[in-house]
Amino acid sequence: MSAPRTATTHNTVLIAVFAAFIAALGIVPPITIGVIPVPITLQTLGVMLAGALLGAKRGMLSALIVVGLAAAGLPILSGGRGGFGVLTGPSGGYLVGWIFGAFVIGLLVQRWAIRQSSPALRYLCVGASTIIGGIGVIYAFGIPWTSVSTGLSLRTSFVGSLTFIPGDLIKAVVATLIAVRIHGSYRRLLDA
Amino acid sequence: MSAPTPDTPAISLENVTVVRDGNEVLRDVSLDLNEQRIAVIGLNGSGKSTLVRLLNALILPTTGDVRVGGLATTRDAKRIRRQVGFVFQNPENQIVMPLVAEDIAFGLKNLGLRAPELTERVHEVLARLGVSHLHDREAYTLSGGEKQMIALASVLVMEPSTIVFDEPTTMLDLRNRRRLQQQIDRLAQRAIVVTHDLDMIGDYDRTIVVDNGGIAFDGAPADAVSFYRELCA
Amino acid sequence: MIGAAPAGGVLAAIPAGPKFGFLFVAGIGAYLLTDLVAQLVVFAGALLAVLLTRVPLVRLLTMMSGLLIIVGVVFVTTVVTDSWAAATTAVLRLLTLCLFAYAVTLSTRFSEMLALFERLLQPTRHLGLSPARMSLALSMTVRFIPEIRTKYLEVREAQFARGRENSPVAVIVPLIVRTLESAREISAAIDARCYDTEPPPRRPSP
Repeated sequence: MSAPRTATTHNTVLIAVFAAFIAALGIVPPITIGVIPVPITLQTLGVMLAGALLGAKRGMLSALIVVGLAAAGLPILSGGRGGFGVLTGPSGGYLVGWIFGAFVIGLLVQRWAIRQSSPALRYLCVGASTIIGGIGVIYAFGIPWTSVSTGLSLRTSFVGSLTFIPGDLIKAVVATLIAVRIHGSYRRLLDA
Repeated sequence: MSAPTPDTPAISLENVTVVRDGNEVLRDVSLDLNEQRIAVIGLNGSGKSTLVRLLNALILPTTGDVRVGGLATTRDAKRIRRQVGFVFQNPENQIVMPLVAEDIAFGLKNLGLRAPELTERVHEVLARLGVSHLHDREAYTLSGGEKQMIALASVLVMEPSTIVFDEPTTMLDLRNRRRLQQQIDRLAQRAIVVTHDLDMIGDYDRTIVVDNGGIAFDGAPADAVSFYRELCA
Repeated sequence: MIGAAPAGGVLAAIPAGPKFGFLFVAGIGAYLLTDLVAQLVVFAGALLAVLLTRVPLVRLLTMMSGLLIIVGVVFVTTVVTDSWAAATTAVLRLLTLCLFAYAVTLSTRFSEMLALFERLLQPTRHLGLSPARMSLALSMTVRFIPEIRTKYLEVREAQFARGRENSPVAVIVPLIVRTLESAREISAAIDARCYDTEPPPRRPSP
């Protein structure tokens, strides 16, 4: 219908609405899933989806916008937090990690995972992508910064971060289910 | 109806066919659209939305030509969009700035205007539509009817010579429908309105019935509506 | 929603750029200082800066609650694994940096911060990015956050009927589908208002 060039406005809109989506997930109440007694915040899920659905560049820009707006003072991080204090604080690295995590997830999904021929492989590869990008990369930024800002050793930071891994693994699985389902209905999402 | 404006550019479609995903959405349509108030009616999926989206180059014809004031949509989309404004069905999707005043200014900024003329025109258009009190509001606090008024304002402020409306009242309640209809009636510019609201088009100059990708009827509103009712029976 | 709360206190008069710059320098400075007295002085400065923003104490404590818990944990852990001095230093550094950060946020209006970011991003023009597009994207995001939140709550309501309100998949898939569909029309509406992006459209191939 439109030549690829005219998709620029559409790209800008997609980046913005996904950024809004990530932000909105920070201001809705956490969800209690199934048998797990602890409610889970969904914002990281949003970041994973931005990467998995929009690809590397657009997903990264969405995450960047969210981090930028939060740093500028908008209370859009889980729990209604915002402001520079969150970036300079112990968990600031994780936020910066969102930006690179979304990029890596996007790259892996658009170049590798979504191109798998069998549905089962697709789920597995998207899953691997969300774990590598959504946990691996994000924690790779988060843990060192925690260590620097608090003076705790890297090992302590690392051990401390382990408590979040189960929750994030669940989010990675959920993100995978959602992403594969949506790519099924919107085949050309990652063509741009 | 309001008196016709002398300088309104002529709109013409010549043998226009639009094919999407292998389907012929519009087939060999030729039309001259010069009347002041034109209604476009038809069933969902008939091609009426596609038809009007050709008029401001949102959709390009696969074959054939669409011209506004002699300019072809395939080459001069930007210039044409200055002449042909578009109001969509869902006002949620038309307001893109957080504040009402900012959103109305958006189109003007794209046209190159700056303060103070820009601020004046924003105030003026809001006053004209009777919604000055919405000037400093945040977009998400507006009701559906208010949003549609702001969407109209944001197009009106750019002073196009033609405004296309794609089912502008479908998502509004009765009172807001009436309000929007009144505002459309009052417009000095040409209005081309796609609608399911057959009550609002009685006074229009011309009504086109689109069916299955083609023009099934083209004439006086009363006759068109009877034809359309039979079609739907 | 848009952080419309006016920026407080004496520091609000200082433009965002210098404040941000100061924060950057002060933050690094806090981490480079080794002398305990110097650290205390700088910490006091940070505390003063926050108090100058006239933020209500309750609000400040709420904002800092998560941080204060972590500060406590850090203090205890470091005392146990290292020394009282190291613990004090760690806590002072962290609090100083964060308090300065809070002072900047509390004394700067959101719109000012956005304007600052946009100015900082101007050089990316040379990388091919468009500052105007970024500005549009930022504004659009702020515009749609409350709308998407509302849609999320609506979809969740709808899923209550099927008992699936606690399934993230059941709630998020429809939400994203609606968002993707809106995106098409939003983009059409923007183009219709003469937004200038790239070369004119070309005919589609059938």
